[in-house]
Amino acid sequence: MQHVNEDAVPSFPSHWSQLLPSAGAAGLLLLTAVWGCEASAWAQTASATASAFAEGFVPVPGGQPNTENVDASQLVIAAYGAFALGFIGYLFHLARMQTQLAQEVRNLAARIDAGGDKD
Amino acid sequence: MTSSSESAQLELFDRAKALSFPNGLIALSTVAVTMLFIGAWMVFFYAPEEKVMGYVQKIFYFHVPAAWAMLLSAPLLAIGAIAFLATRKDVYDRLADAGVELAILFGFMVIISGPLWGRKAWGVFWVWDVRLTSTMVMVLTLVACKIVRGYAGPEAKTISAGLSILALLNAIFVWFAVDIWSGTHPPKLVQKLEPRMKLTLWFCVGAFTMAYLALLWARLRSGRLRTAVERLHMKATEAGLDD
Repeated sequence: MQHVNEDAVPSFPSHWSQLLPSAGAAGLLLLTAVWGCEASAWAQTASATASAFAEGFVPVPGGQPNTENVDASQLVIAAYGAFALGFIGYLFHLARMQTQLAQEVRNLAARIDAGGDKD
Repeated sequence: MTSSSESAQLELFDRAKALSFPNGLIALSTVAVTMLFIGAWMVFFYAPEEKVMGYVQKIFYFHVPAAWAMLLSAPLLAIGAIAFLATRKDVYDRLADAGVELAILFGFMVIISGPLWGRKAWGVFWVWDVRLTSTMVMVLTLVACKIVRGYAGPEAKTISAGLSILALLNAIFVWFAVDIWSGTHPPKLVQKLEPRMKLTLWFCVGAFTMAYLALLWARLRSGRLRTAVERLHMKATEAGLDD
């Protein structure tokens, strides 16, 4: 049985009024994020132009394609490997957690049953 | 029948429910795994290679569904968090926690596979594009939810719920980012896809949705088991059996 101290749980309206400062802070954070995105979008175009003329580097002449050759198959294998690892890893984590918890439920229940029998 | 034996009966009922492994979950998991394998086959053997980006575009077919699954979590975890703040019932907290965990899982899939695609398409792994940045912020917020849950003490669930609501706002931001700011990340182009590419993508979205539902079910079962353990510990303490 779960014991809940009713006095410890704030009433619905007072609880929400307590959350107002947090909501204000969240709103401020969001506004900052919007401003940050605007700045990021601007900086992205600005830095792309600037880096193309960085001193000490030779820029690729205009109109010519980038000659760097990256093996796409390795990238695709790595990406699908990450998907597979994510699924398998999480399933393993869930299975391990559930086995441990189920075992704990059985052990505790057995202890309680044994304790109850003694009474 | 005494009051304590009635309580024991109730515990036995809860215990049996918590320990049972639903057949529906097994069926859903089987469907999800089968669909994921068929989806992978379609990606490599059915969908045509893209003309401009080439082979690396194959990442798109699992990257987009992973992002979809991550965003699918956002309303779920927010509903759980708001309902928990309003009612303080554990069942809603468990829902929010499951949503957070799954959003982290799919979020990491997105922010790992995206840069691998970007390496070939853009020449670099990462650019500070609005969608990429906001997705990363969302995943970090969700990771913060989990850290808070583990270490913030008695108020952990409340703080975690607040952060979950912030993650929902962030998710809305992620969804509309490409419409508002035209950055490096490709815009929404599903409607313009070639029919075989479109079918493959929608099939993979379906597969990820099934996988998401199966994992959510399994994760909720873990939550129920954890609650059962907590209740049994309380019962053991009451009986003077726990230290």
